[in-house]
Amino acid sequence: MKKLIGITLIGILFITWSLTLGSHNILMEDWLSIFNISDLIGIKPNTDLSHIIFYEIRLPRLLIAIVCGVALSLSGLWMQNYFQNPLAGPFVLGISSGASLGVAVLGFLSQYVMILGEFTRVSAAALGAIVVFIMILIISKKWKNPSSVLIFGIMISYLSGALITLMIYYADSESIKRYTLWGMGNFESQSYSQIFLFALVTFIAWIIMLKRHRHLDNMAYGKEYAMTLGTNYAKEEKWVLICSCILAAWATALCGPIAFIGLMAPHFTRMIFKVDSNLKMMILTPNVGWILTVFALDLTQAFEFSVPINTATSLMGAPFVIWFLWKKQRI
Amino acid sequence: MSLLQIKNLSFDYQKQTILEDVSLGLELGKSYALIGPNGSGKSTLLKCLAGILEPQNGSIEINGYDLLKMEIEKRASYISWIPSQINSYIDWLVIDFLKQDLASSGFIQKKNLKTDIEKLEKFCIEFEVSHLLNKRLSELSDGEKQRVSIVRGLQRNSKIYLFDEPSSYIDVPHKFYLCEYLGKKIHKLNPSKIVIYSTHDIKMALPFIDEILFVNKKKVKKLTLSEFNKDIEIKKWLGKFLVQLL
Repeated sequence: MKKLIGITLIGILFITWSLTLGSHNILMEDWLSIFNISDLIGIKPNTDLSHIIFYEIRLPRLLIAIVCGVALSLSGLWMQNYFQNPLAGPFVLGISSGASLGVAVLGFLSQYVMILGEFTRVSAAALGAIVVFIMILIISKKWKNPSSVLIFGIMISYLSGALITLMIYYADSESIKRYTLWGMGNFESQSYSQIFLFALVTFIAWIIMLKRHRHLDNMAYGKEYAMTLGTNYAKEEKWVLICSCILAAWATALCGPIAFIGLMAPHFTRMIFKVDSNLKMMILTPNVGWILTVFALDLTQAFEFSVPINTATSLMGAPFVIWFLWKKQRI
Repeated sequence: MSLLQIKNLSFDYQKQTILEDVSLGLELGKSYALIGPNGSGKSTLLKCLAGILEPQNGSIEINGYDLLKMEIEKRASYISWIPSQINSYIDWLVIDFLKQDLASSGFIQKKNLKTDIEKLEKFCIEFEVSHLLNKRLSELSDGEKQRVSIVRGLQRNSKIYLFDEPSSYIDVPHKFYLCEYLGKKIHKLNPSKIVIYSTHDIKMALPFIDEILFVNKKKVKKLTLSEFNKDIEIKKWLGKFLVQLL
């Protein structure tokens, strides 16, 4: 409990920090006007620059980072449990790569056909992610060994990487830039309705899996033992894959492929809280997830120059994985 | 009257027949040792009985119910299957690991929780794992882990207990105790259970079990102890070592 309060305080600190970061400096008196109730309910429209920056840039940026953190960390938790592999995660399974490929194809096509709007990009990413997801679903049914499915995911990443490179090679500079920016991860310019929808989806997936926490625990023993404990493996497996893939695909579609959050958050949670059951993990992991993501967001803004999200998460994540494997070797 | 009725069971794996036309009737209150050469299909038979593998042909009936058509949850209330090593991605504390079945309301009713915990404690003392309860699974040796797994399997209120080589990792005194337990003691507590366990420690198992299931060349043969001594196939398999067993 103390630890939970501790990390929540750290999280609040990161949130506060993130709201103050950015090229525009919000002054003390501006803060008062920002939190003025009459402004919030819109009696007196406020056209103050600080006000606009807060409500149209910093707050949505923070909120989407939080939802992304929750979604990706949950997705990572379920995948690691299902694949019985500590290195599984939305990134490793190829879900993010599928989404990237979708966006790249869209960008490539947009050179020839008029394609408009944010929404098409989200749909393209979702489509790519879903295609990979269905392939993984089929493969996981045919191949009994979860590790093989993991390798399949990694190969899908390579394949889509190669296709993306090919398209970039022939694309014009404008679409290359647009794609590259998306690929670096981005919490900017999300509408409140989109954030709300994503939060709702995440919440529903969380509830669905929370109800199945015992089955998740059983699945961590592998298929055979899980079945004798009363888990309908074929059915539960679908729920795990559907929920974790939808969250990963949605996050990637909105914010680009964000590396390592899904992989790191469950491990940090186990390290800090020393918990094991999926029930406890599902309550604690999202907290660690959003704190990590908001911290990454802070890092992107903290310096004179801004840093892409994926740079921040990879700077945290890659050394973490190496350290994690190092620790495992010694045991 | 036999409780577990296996009829014309056949199992193929990748176009290779492992078990062919196996028919057996197994009775309540008896213990069976499953023996046979490596790769003869002992584990496959146990997995078919546990409902993990689906046989291509035949039926398995418990109390007249068809096991293969039974819902997975209901089947789990009849059968406790324990592999020689339980591996978990989650690094449980041993105590939480053991209590997992108690908590799942699926097949153990809440009102029995207190007696179930008392029963679990008794098992922990009997198999000398009480001192391990606050360790994590990853900290246990193979033998300790196997004893913990056996306790987990036994504390379930099942009708049929299936153990796949339960004695493979554990030390000699615990091996003897286990054979005695699975052969005799378990039936004294509750006479309406069936125990089937595969083993290579035939010499230790023989004094305690009721009958032998010999798996060889896709067939399963039920033998009493006196039949076991005279059986030609057994003689052929064990050769000159048979004498040392008796």
